[in-house]
Amino acid sequence: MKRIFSIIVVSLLLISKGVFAQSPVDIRINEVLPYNISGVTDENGERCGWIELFNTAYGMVDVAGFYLTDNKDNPTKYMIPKGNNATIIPLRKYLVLYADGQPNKGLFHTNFTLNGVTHLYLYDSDGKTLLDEIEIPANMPEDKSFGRVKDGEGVHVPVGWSKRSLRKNSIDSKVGADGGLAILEHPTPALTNTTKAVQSKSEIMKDMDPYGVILALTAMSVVFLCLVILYTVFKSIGKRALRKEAEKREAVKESKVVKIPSVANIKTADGAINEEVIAAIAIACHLYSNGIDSSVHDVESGVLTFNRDILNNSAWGSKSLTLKEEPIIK
Amino acid sequence: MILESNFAANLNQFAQYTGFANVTAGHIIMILIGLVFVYLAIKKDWEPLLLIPIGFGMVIGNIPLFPGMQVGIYEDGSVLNILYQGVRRGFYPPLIFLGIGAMTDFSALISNPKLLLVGAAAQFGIFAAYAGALALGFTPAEAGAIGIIGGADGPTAIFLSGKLAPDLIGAISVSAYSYMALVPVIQPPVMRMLTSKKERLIRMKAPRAVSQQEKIIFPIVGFLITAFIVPSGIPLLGMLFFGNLLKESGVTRRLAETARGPLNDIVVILIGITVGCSTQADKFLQGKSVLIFVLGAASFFVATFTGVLFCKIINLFLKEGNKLNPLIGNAGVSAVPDSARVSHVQGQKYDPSNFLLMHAMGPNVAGVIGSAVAAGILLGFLS
Repeated sequence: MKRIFSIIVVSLLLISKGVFAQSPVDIRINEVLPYNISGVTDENGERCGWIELFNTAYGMVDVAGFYLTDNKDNPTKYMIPKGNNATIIPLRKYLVLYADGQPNKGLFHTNFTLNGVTHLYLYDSDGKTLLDEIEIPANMPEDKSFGRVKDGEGVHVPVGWSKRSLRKNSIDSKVGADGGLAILEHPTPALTNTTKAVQSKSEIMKDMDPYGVILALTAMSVVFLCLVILYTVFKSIGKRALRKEAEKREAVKESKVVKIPSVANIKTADGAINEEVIAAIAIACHLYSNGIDSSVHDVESGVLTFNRDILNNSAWGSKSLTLKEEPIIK
Repeated sequence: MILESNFAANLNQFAQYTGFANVTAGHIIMILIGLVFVYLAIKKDWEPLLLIPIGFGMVIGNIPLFPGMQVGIYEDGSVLNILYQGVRRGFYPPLIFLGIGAMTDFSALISNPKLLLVGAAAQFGIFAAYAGALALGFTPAEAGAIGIIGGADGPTAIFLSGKLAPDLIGAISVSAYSYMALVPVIQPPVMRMLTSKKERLIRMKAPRAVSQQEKIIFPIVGFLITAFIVPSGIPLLGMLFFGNLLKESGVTRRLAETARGPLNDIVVILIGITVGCSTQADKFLQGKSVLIFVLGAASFFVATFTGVLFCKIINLFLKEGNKLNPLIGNAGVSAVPDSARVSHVQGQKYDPSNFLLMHAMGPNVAGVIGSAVAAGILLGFLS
């Protein structure tokens, strides 16, 4: 059992690609607009550049205490304020910060602007762990934003990853040479970056496989694959169980010296069957029913439980059957 | 005089709210269908645990209503609508799967794992119905939901149609449950057609003993393998194997009893009554529903056909003495335990001393796993 458990754990570790809880690593810098001439205004009715964060997780993440900076040598340049519920980003939602260099104007106003900024970094609340960074193209046009073509997707810097693995990640993610980031035609603060109509999976499938043959073949292959793997695993487990059972049976045979009582001893002097014989028969029946001497039955717990039947008309619930009858004076 | 006229006006207004003022031929037809279901359940004993809630639900759901009274199942905030969310959002089916897991003994499958493959083969019915539905003009999502009828698994059909084609839930689930009840009628002709008398007499080797350790390992390993391959099937597979672990662990008897007993009963009542209610005449009496019933029947035939055929193919590779009786092939379509019972009854017709029930339970429970995996695949591709 221990060996099987170990195999399962090791297999899971081997096939896992990297397990992250829903946490700071799920936050991405999703979109930035450095030069806001005619776009959205802040709560004071003024226009300035903005930074959009996106929560890629399927749970809430509080970004209070996280740091944003345009200078890697100063990772704690701007801290997202603590003590306000507005810093909690719900699942798959956005938070917009105004980069006007005036942090006293409101909750989400950074102490730097995006004028001429080419790199933007997001750090965890320890001020050391880099969560994400993006490189903003020089000479960004006015009223155009730069960001992830699909929300949260594209190249990013996961915690503890090297530049090499970062490149590998961008390739694995199939995000193309631009790393999944581009100048976006239509800035969308606090909204999805995907502005084109997206085909549903069903529509894609209709175009790709109008007769359903490909899906049928794929799905049946997967169903068979699943069940063939299960078959293989349980075939080997079954063989192992049979082997163990045979060994056990052999051990029982070897360890037991069965003393067959002589015919004279089977019966006692008064003609009744000897108690030892009765005990031997009982043990034999027990071993048989528990599959030690036979493979006919499943191994059961052997525990007998009597449950009280709560039906009113049963013997258990019937007062007339369970209580003593009152004496009747005749 | 004023009192009289107000009284008459009130009576007249009240009359507008009654069912008599709003009744249509559709309502009457659906109420009659519901009553037929109730009759079949009580008189013929056809799946009474399902047909009575569904049948009476049909009667409830088809009482003509004046719109806006917030009592109909499709009216937001009504009690029935709240109960219906379990179907619509798909949280009743996994709970049923928990109960199925807690009441299913996988010993037959564990002792003879090749029966798993028979369960896989019977899933062809799903994809035959899927292709048929596409050919009849359904969208791929609708076709996927219709196809799962071939899995012969009511909760899976409800789960998938709730996700892929909510408008068709009523027709799909009623179709699935109707054909599950009709398994003893649908399957035997196909089984007889595909098997020779000699094959029907094959006696299968008695299943070996299965230790408790193997029974505990099965749900854990089974879940890990299937869920890693088809994560979209987690709600169903997770609950199925979890329920089975509760049963086999030996230390959670109370939880297992609750899962397969009271909890399962509660969910069966809720799922049955709300599915029945969802068959409102205006949504159910459509040409689409007729097509769904036709496709459902076809998928059952194909599933039975491929299950039996696959047994015959496997037999080509098995030694004498290890061969499978092809009559157990039909049991791969889930419908636990009815289709296994059909195998047994058919086998006994030709050899009264041949007991196939335990052998047929193998592909039967494999079919449950197979249809849950197939549902996960369809969900992954089409949702």
